Amino acid sequence: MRRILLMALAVLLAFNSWAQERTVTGRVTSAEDGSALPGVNVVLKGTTTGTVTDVEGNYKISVPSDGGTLVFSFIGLTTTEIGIGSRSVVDIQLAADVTQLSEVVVTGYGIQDKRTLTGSVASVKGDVFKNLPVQSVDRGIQGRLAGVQIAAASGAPGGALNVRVRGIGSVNGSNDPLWIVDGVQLTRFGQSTQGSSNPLASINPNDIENVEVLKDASTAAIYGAQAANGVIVVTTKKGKKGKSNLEVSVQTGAVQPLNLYDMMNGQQFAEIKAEAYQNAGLPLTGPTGAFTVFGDPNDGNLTNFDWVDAIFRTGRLNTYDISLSGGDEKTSFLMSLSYQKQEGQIIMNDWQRGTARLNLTHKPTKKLTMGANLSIAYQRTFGSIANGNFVNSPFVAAFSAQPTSGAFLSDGKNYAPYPNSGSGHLFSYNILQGVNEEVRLGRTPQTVSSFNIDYEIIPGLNIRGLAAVDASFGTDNNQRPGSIPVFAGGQMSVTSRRTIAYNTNAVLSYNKKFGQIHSISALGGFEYRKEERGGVTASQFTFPNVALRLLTSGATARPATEFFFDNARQGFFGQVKYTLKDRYSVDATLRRDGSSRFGSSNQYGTFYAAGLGYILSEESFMKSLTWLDNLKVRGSYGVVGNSEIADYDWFTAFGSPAAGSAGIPAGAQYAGISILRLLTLGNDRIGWEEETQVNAGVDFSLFGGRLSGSVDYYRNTTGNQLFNIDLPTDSGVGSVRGNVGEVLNTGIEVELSGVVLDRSGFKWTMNGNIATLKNELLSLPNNARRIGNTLIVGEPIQFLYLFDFAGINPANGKAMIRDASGNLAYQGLEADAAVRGSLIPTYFGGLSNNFSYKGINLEVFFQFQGGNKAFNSDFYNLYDAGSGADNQLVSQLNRWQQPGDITNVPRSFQGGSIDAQDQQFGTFGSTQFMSDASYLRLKQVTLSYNLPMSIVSKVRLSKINVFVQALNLWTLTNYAGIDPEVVTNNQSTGVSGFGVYPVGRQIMAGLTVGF
Amino acid sequence: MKKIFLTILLASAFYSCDLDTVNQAALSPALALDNAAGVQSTVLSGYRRMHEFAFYGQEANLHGDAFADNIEIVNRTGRYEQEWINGIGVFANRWAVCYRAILDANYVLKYLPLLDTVNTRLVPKTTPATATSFWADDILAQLEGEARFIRAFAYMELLRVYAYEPGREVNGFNLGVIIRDTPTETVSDADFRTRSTNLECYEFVEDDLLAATTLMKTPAQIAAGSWPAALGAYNTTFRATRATAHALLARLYLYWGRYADADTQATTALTILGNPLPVTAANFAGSWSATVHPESIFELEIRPTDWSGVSGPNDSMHSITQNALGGAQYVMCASAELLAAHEAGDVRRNVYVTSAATLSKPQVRKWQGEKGAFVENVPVIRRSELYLIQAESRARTNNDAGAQTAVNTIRTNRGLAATTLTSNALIDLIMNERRLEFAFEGHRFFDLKRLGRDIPKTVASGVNTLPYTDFRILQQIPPDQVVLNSLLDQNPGY
Repeated sequence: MRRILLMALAVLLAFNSWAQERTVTGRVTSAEDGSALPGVNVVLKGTTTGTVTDVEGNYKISVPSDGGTLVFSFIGLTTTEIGIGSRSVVDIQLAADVTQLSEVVVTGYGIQDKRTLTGSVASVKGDVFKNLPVQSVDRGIQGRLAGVQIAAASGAPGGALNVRVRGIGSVNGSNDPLWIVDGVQLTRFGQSTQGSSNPLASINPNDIENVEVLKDASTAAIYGAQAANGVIVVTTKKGKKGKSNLEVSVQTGAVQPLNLYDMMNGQQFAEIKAEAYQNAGLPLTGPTGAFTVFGDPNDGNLTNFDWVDAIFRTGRLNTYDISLSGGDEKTSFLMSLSYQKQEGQIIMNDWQRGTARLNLTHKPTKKLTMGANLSIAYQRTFGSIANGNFVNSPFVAAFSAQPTSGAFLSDGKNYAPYPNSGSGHLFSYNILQGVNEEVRLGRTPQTVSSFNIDYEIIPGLNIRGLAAVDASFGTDNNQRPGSIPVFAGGQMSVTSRRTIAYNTNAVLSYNKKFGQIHSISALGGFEYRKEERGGVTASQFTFPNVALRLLTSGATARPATEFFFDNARQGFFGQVKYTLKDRYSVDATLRRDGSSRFGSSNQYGTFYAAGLGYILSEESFMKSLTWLDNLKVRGSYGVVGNSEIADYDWFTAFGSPAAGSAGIPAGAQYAGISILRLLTLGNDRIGWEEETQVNAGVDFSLFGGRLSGSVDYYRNTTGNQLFNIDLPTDSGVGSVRGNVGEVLNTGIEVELSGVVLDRSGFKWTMNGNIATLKNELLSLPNNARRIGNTLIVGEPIQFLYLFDFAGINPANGKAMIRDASGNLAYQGLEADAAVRGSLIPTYFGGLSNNFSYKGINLEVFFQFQGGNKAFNSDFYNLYDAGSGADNQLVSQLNRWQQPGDITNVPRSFQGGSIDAQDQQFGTFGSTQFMSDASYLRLKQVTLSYNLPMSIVSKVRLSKINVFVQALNLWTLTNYAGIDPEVVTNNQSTGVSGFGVYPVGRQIMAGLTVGF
Repeated sequence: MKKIFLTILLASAFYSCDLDTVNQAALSPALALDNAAGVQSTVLSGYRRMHEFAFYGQEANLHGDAFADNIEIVNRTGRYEQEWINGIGVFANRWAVCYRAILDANYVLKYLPLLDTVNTRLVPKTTPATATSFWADDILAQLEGEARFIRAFAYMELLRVYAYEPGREVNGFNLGVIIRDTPTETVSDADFRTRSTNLECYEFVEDDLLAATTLMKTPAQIAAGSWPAALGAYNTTFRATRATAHALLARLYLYWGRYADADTQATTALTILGNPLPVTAANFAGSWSATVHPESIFELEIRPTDWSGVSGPNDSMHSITQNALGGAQYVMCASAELLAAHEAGDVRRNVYVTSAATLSKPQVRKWQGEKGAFVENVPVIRRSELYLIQAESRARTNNDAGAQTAVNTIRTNRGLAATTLTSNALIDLIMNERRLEFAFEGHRFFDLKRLGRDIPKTVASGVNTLPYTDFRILQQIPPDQVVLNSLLDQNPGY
């Protein structure tokens, strides 16, 4: 009653002539990320009084002195009413309208309404990885996308990653997804070979608006022959209408090595070496005695040099970003500049990049839109040798170099010959000198740019054209200076390479809604892509001075080599989609593609897909379920292709072998005359690898968007594998390409995001995803059950084939295995080895927690994968009970010493072969060096603070954000090695690589200022 | 305006839309081999295969010594340690490299007969003749002879590694290797085959070499003749000649136990070569630092251009046997037993040098890297081998006097007195001469094996004498090949 009276009074007052008006101001921001929301309608309820927020989200409105109710509305956001009361400042956060979900998805050649999508798309907004100290977007999205497994192939700055969408479908072809940046189909080639490098590293991740992964046939089949490994569509940021917005961001930090091996010191090493010599009946003293070669453990003046400490370091990271964006009715633009320098964990190793971008859109007439997305980048890397058992790789030699032999002469400055005993260990190469003095410089300018034009013929009918290019022109300089004894006189080589890939397309699209019931969209188009890459390597030996690095100064002429490859692809495609009552959707896609990589008889292939979607929550019988915002079921089926093999595999090639092929390190000549031989046995009947993809999924949103997510089931069968079919080597040929065999990848993906807590300004949201993966080889050529010991029907396509290690015989210290019949044996035969574990993770995902309170935001992100095993090849050198010349893990002190000792380390025995039995089982490795590579990693912690506007506006800025963040802070794993993430590098060889470059721990602090 | 944009749009999309690409690095075999120069280049590829690392680039020079009693490991790097103790699986790459050389030869032998002798841009028969002219068919015959020589050489290597010599079988195991005499041009050519018997293989090799001896000209004929400049110079040491074919045939008969034939072939080879005495005792040590070994009948030429900057330290003979250059590995030295086998005054003993710099081990100085930065040629057949084949063959056919003449040609040029031994003592002496003469050239193990002898091992290796009946006398066929090809029988015991 009292309320009615009050209201009556209020109404009365409103119409009263002495009603007074006052001004209310406020700021509208996004509930999702706190960013300013320009263009929001603000209306005083029940009146026509209204305004619109400016570019910083600020508004000012006149209201009656007693307040009233403000209504805030904006497309895609929940319309919100708020009572003013007596406040003069009303700030509000607007949340996305989950019931409308009007988001669009960039699927290939057009955009689709996410709401009626029939396929499976995973997406990440650029904000998620903005300002992360990563050099390429693939590192930024690691663990963020369900069903997309990403693992570093190298921890080198700017280094490579393996990205696998829904498993590994191809045994011998590439499994890399197709990356498309603003319409540019990126090439996989053109990077420097002076260190690990990444084809995506020319794109500044901070320029990226969002990343979408097209995971199933319904969304990806429009890319036909290139879609089998998934398609990742990257869209860069564009300018927005309104006031120009300048943002500057700087950050600095450090990278540290993680979890390096614990190596023996000089005394420990000399001790185990002496024991190895004694056990083998070799002398301790005399010119070849253990004490002479490795030092006397009881010598108080024994050299004790820590090679690991001398070579690994804490590196610095610095990044600078500037972006300016804005626009008016006709034109919008975004300009950005960035510079990043990251030092590696290894001395001398670093990576630098400068990028510049201009994204421009202009509408000269009402119907015509033209755009350009231009980027140039310059990468400069000083590489580090990794991924192989190389004596000049710091990841091998820093650990295995003998601590009893120092890097320097007694003057402490000049490098000592290594090792000081003259025994030739590590090819007499002083690794510290090598890392400091060898030059491995790669410089690559690259542009990834596109131009587009869109013309509206009649409303709903548009024609679009695109021209896109990915071009790089790199130079590698490699110097092996004469100051290093093994490179007497010095060696220098220069590789100059050019890689140009361009694609053009024209697409006609039609979108129309008939009444409120039928909507139709259709598109059809044509695309052409050509890729060319070539290069020349020239080298010279014998230089007068190490500082003279131009080839001109070399005295000894070396052969020059040249390579050239090209391939072309063209395709026609079409897609039709029909939606009834905004509820039932059906679509179909068809693409016909041709590739130069196949012989004329099989050049073209046809790919297709169909999808169905049904939004149940739109049905009237579901409307009563008020807790249910959205529920959709969808399914798709299709066939897509893969042609990522070498360019000329169909062709029987007779020519001069290239440098680097078997037995031809450099010149292809004999007795001064060039040679010719069979290079590749061709197969002109090879054609596309075909992947049949089935997807079924559910999307849901509950409790007003408090909990949302999706669940997908997929089953992909890759048939007609582009296989390297082994031929008997007595034919003189090792293998030939053919289309045989079938691989299955199947699994379930779950994505969930929810608001755990939202109370008094404190908000906790969680986003998580997990995917399972089962990989299985279904069939092989000629119905074979297996190919050697590398592929076996019924097993995953990458596994470890090993002996079963059975420990050390306590009686005599000899390593044992369990043979095929379960008996203990000292030596294994072929039949005793078996599949011991898969290299392919069976589950993977990520979990992100966001906590925000009044401008403070904390993100805690975990990434995990598991179910896979790894074999650590480093142990061949380091886990050897002191039997060789390499320094050993401290754990090797647990070697067997006397009958009854229970240990996993064999008897120390110089040479490593006791009674002609290799203690590491020569032919195959054993499970001794295998471990579970599952891991859970605290991938990212970011704490950021947006200074309050009250302070920010005083210094006439629009935004001040300070942040600290850390990557790879903590890891839980049972992997026996440095880093469980970087174990997959040498997958094709069946064992994990020697001397991989592990990821490091990065700690950064930074500041972003908006003007 | 509108029309202009639409035109640009369509033109850009349809511009240069074709799928034609060209592999600029290669031709089809038919095109590459439709001329004499192309065929010759493929012949030369066969020689190039011979000095790959897994063949005479390094391993073939050392396996024969490491498997027996000539070497000792100085530095434990993993290299040759399994060979030293007769471990298994160490010949993994020899199988494939030999067959790659055979493939080159088979391509030559298929396409060469298709060449039109008139249109090969060589000297046709109508040109006025001189006695030494190379007619087109002479040139093609020479190239065919080379291809047959290469094929025979590769098969002989396969046979001595993977098979028993005919008549020396253990438990009747008489398989040789797989015979292929046509090139692999399509997938169906690479069919699965069984191993022929050792005797069939020996006969196949014999046919090739007999043909080669008639197809090719002698070094003198080649030197005097007009080998066409368009084909480049023909080096009669780095490429086969009629003399080389006879020499290899002599070696084949020696392994086969056909001693009279071996003697005949060795004698024929020496006759063709003129008056080719071995180097003298005074020059013996120095002969190993000559760019081309003065005794070489067949030597694989390696040029610095054949190697990358690290091939020397990684793969060379010099690196594995010496530590004179920075980055060398110096893995092996001469065994005490090898040194002890020398008589006093033998100049061959002088190639083993013991000093502080060699870690007080007898370092072998046969592989000097004399072309710089570890590079040197690989002598494969030396004249002294012909004399020792003569000597052994004659001694085994009861011609002691002839045997003495031959072996004394070697002994007197190695600082030793002429021998007057006879019968078995003479044979033993000749076998010891072979051991000393060819140490670190890969003969020792195979000389014992072809006679069915047990393999003595050194004290330092710590392993016992390897009986001839032990399965490790024959090497393991690469296991992946046996898994792939069910028709391919593995050697016994593996």
